[in-house]
Amino acid sequence: MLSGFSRLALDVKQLKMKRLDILAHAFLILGIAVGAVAIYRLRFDSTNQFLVVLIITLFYLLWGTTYHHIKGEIEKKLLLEYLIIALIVIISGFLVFAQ
Amino acid sequence: MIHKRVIGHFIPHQKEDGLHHRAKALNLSYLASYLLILVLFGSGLYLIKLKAPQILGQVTFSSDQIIALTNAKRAQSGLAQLSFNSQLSQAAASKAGDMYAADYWAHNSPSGKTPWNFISSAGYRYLYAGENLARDFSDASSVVDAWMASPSHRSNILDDHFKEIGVAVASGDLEGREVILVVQMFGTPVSQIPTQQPLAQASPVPSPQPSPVQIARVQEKPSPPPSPSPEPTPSPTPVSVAVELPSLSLQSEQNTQATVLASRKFALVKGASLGLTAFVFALFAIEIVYTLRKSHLRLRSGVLAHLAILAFVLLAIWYAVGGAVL
Repeated sequence: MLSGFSRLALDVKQLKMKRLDILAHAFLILGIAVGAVAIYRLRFDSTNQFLVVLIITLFYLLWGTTYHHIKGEIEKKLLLEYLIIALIVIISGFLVFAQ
Repeated sequence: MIHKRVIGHFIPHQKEDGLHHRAKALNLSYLASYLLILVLFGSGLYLIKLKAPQILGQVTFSSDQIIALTNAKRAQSGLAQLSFNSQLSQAAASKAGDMYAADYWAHNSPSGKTPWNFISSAGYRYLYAGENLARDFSDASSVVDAWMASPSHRSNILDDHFKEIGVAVASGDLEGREVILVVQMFGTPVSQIPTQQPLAQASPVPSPQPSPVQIARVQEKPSPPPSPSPEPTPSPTPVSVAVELPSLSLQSEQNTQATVLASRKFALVKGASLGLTAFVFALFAIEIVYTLRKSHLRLRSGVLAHLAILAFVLLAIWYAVGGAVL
């Protein structure tokens, strides 16, 4: 059974994690929104649009690795999931923009 | 039973063990198979384009079509039609040839040649001039639509200063790829300066600002200042310096055209990429909705990030166009 102090420490930790979740996701969405604006502004310049897709995908991979590392839940399966989705995004972008 | 199994593929579900599981279609092996499908599809299209491009469609478009569509856009805005000019057309063809020869995609060549050099070399003496470039489009209307969607190119097309036009459509090898270039040149000849207008006011346009990033629309004061009665200047080219009136016979003689092979490739690639990405996006979206509706479940880590990146690429593909303008 948890003592009052331990419960308080657990609550503080959960609160910190919740704050981390919100901040981290806000940061990710901000980065992706910047990418979306760049894609729109670079209409008719498919080479640079593909470059934006690459940069944003790299940002997504870095974000995922850092975020899950901080949360202490990094594992091979999760990283593989990120990697496959990143590859789907890159190959879709390559097929469309670097034709 | 079968119904449950099918549903289990697409939405999170509870197994006999009482635990909730993600949709089977989101398992790593399934995600990897989507990736494989995309790779195989892209490789297949590449091979078809290489071996039998006619399967993917074949379209021919010409400079006359570009001129007609440009004039149609001007007419819609209540502007006067642009007259065809053979010298501008020759300048556009020279520019396209130079882009293939020197392997560049820019308004200024690596050796420093500007669009105005090509126009002057063709013997066209201008008061105003402009250039629009396009590549990789599969039909004339897509080219003009893309220019109209870009503010700087649109302002060239709808510029009331311009009176004449010349267009070249050429195919060749650029940056290691077979591409189709469209060069559109606009101009107002010196001979069209109103005679009663004083010289100082006849050329109020500032000189172009040479910069690494060239804007599509450039107006230039001609290097020899225009005179009220312009004399034909000796030119190394056999083309007459005098501004010629447009004629139908000239227009058809100077009409350039190119055949686009595998013209439907872009539409196919766009459709397939959009479909597959949208499918994976929908699976993650369903997982989020399902988890939020079950108060005792926690959202799987990383799902929101996957959804965000997939939404980004969906948006990017949705707005993609099959060509580039400069």
